[in-house]
Amino acid sequence: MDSSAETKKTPVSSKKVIIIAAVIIAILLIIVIALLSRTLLTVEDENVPKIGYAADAKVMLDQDSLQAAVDEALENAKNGMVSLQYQNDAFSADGQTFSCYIANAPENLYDMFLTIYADADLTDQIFLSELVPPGSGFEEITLEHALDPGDHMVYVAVTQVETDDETGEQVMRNQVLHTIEFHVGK
Amino acid sequence: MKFMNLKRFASTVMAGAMALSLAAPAFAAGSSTNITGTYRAITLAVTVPTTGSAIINPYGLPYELSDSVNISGQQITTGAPLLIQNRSAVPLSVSASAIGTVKGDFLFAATAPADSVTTKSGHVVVQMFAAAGVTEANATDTDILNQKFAALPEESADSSKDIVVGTAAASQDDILTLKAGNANGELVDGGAAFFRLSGSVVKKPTVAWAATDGFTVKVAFTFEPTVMTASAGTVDADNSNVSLDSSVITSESVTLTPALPSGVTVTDWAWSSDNTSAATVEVSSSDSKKATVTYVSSGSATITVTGTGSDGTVYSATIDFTCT
Repeated sequence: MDSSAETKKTPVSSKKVIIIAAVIIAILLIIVIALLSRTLLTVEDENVPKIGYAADAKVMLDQDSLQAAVDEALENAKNGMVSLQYQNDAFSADGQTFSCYIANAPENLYDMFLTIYADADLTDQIFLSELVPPGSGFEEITLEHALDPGDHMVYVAVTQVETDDETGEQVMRNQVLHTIEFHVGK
Repeated sequence: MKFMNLKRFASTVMAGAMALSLAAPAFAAGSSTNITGTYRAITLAVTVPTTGSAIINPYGLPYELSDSVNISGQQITTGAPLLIQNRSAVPLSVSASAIGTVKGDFLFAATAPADSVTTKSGHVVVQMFAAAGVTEANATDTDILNQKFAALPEESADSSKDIVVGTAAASQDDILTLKAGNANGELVDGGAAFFRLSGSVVKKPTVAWAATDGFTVKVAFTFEPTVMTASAGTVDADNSNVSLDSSVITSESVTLTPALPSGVTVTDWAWSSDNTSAATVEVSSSDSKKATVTYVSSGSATITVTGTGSDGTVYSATIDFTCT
């Protein structure tokens, strides 16, 4: 009797399996073909924007990027003030050694070094100092080359340097520029 | 006649000589004075902010300086308020020079780019503004500074003092004056100034703006001791006659109406003419705020009244006369 019951449950015929499989494959083929067709269409149709660009591209500096840049500027500004302490005039008899007064104001946070240029375009460097801690400064400097007799406006770049106490790594922090009149005796 | 005893005579002469020798230094001290003059250099104490990259905002999008302070419409901005502070014992005239460096495809323009320009161009200027109300007490209060910075007008009071930034150094002299610090070397009202980068850029260049486009500016400040000056008020002709002639209206009375800051006084006012060949001016003996302008010959003359205030500021006002 069992064998007849089993006989009555007719298994899915091979034909049906093949048909189902064929349908599935056909569907997959259609999908693949459709995808390929879209890609081909993008490449060949000149009216469709290329990848990465759009005809009405938006500005790179969007609101969020703009605000992020402003926030960074505000943060930098908190520690971006440099106190200057100097005298406006320096004097020399030979054009090379000058009596002056340029100090790293005691209220500054960092050491500083000076770079002095003879021109407004900051191309003619005439002096480079070593580091000076807050509260110290120069009363006399010797230039890399002598200036001619007369009056010269020079440009003093004050660069602050932060030194890591543990590693000794030095990082430039802030830089400001001011002028001084250098007088060379005639 | 017996001659005076020789010894007594000699003693008298000696005593007289000694007396004269002691008197010599006294005479010398009474007839000459030694004055020693010593040059004392003035040490400047100013605080300046570091300058560097600016933000290009082609669409003038709004941004926040703080929760309650917004700025919009600025195509070029440094973002944060930048403040110069004078704590020196003397007022300082501020001059500056600026030189720029470009990044990416940015180009500096000498004037505001026209709408037809399609390159990544920008007209960048350095502007300075008096920071009224900023003192030692609030110079680091970002809330107050942000509000004042955001309230700055679009144009500076004197646009001819703006520095146009380019790749070659450009400068302006005597942009503004900063008041001296007080006796304790502290910042007082009038001793600080904001400076900022401003300007305009091409909104839609042919190649879109990128985050790699931009510029940096180095600003070199020149601080020179000077005298604070301010307006004294207005000078008016009492009979409204500012034209004088040789026969009908040969003179006119003028009066200064002072407009000084609260608490400031001027004891005496002085009057002057810049062209005494055309007109002279004489102060009233009873009231130094009044004077009389008198015709001399044809020409024009500017009459100036000046006085030093109790705050050390030199106040002045002018009126122009035409002599025919």
